Amino acid sequence: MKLLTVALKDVKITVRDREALLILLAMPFIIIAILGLALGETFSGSPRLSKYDVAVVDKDKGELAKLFIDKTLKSDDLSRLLKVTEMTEDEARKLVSMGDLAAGIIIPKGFSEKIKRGEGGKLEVIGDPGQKIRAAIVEGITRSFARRVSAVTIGVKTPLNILVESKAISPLELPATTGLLTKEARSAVTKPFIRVQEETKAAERGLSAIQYYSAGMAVMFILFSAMFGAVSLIDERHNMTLARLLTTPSRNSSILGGKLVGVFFIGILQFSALVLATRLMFGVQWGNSLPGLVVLVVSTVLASTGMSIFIAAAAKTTKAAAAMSQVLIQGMAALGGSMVPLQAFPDWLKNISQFTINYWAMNGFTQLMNGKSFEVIILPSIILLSFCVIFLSLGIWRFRFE
Amino acid sequence: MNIVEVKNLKKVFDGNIAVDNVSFEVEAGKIFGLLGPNGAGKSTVTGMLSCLLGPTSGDALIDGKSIVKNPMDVKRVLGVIPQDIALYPTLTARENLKFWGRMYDLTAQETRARTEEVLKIVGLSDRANELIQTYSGGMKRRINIAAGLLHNPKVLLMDEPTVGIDPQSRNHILETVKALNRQGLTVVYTSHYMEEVEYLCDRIAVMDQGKIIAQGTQEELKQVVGREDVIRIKVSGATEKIVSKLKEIPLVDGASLKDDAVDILSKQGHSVLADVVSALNQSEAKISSVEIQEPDLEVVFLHLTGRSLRD
Repeated sequence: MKLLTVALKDVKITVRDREALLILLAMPFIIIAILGLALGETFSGSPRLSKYDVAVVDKDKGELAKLFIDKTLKSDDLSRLLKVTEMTEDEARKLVSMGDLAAGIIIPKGFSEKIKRGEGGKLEVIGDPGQKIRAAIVEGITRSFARRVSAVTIGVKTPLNILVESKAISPLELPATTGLLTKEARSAVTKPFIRVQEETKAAERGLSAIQYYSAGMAVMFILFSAMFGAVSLIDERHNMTLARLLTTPSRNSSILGGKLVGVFFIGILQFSALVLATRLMFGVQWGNSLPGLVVLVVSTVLASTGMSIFIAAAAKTTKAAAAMSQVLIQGMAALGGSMVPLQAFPDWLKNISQFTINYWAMNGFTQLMNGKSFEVIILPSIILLSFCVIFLSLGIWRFRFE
Repeated sequence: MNIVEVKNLKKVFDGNIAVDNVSFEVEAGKIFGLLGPNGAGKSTVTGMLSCLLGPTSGDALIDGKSIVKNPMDVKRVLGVIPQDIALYPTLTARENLKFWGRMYDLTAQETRARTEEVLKIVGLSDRANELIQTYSGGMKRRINIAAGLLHNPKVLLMDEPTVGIDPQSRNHILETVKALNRQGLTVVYTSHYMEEVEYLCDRIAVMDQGKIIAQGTQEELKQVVGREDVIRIKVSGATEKIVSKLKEIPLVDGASLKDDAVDILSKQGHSVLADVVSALNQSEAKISSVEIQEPDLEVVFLHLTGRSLRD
């Protein structure tokens, strides 16, 4: 089958081309590594939480302090996020100021007693300015605990007052009733109120930078394989191998089809290599739906393949093709979310970005990475295939063999 | 029996006539030469014969198949050696030939066998696993020829196959063409090198400005010059300006400069010789020898057009 002969010849030529390999594989991998590791967990407004050390200074030694430390800070949920170490106030302040600890919580002496007496208490959080987000999380946890304690205290006091005022119980029965209610209240205070998103709401968790840029750069650099495809077609014309191919008993459709299948094969190899490499080297999760990933990769590569013949038809020289490709690729990458997440865009720009291959590919890949199932890639895949059909039609219509 | 019949081929590009009613026949097993200066229209003729360009009018039959009606059938019996090196530089010679073999409808087994055979024919079996980009110009030309032989064509169409190569490689190619012809292959050989066409071809068509201005065997063509004398003066320092002055001498019918020799055509060679030598002496040119020669194809072209093949 001549179509396959032409395609495999092109794959062989590309695999031997060091410059092509550098651009198609090494460059995206390096950029993914740099951006992913540099931006790390603070990316996209949805930080991926990694475990860190927090100091607790328990000057209270009371019941509520014990509840806060053992049942909240060291609960199963939060222990995945925080490593809590008890220490003295001096130690805590020193380590936080040196940046060795993100934050410290100081529970003042008499905290539990004051709360019990309804006088209100105060918890102090000290944070490292260099680890603002981590410190803010600790502050949030502490504030949330304090609010809950306040609510429960009011909630216990108010019904008791109502019971006494309505004479439903006598003031003599108050201590026993209080004991019952505060038991319930104690359990309410220690109910889990903060969970690590990753565990309960995987579908809505944010992506890490390395995940985001693995998808972003893979989509962007797959378009470079379209550029190489276009250059290869023009090269065949300039080096007269296309003319020679036309002197063989081969149909034009086999020759052009073979060239396009070659671009498709190279694209699939490139994308698969990037998915595997990012998975193995950086542990990037590409989602739970393998069929979804396969269909989306194929759709993206097909859109890129269509783009290659479009460029080859529009540009007369390899230089023009490369320049045109650069503009198209960089433009689509910037607008389509390969470089910067679309959340950062104003609405009008988001509307424009929908006219790019990158937007739809990124839409599908990020949703898959967020744990969504096959259904989410159906619309992006249909639109990517539409890109392929439009580019192919225009390209084949304009391509000249002579 | 004629295996190639070209009938009134015409090609017009944007209103310019590149080939104007060209007709010729080639007998099976012969070498036919298409001789003419650059821009004469030879490559356009080969482009049409190899079904790359559709003729504006006219037709050609190759092994009885029309280039207009049955181009696919023509491509199966025709081997084309293009003027340019049409190979993939980052593949080896063997990989290139295997690719082209498959494109000529050979099976994998046939391709393997023919690849080795054509490598032997062009004398590059021992270098076949090297990348084309590492080859010399002559070696590339030889593989360029090998690729056109893979499918055992009945007719080989060669378009300026020796352009830009060293004399040794050129001789190798010429001997290869001779050897292939001895095995029965018909060759249409296009060149602007008079010596190559003289050496190889049984019949020759001389092309100029899109037309065939003369055709026949070498002897027939030389008779066109008739009784004219050819004075060949070996000279150093001659210029086209001097040649123009020589053309103005009475009874000189034509003059051309080629390398270090000036050819003068005249029906009264002995009468003009003194004037020619005198004119050359007055210029800065230095004469090293003077002889009256038998006409060759260069002289034929000069006689027919008043210009050199290299003009």
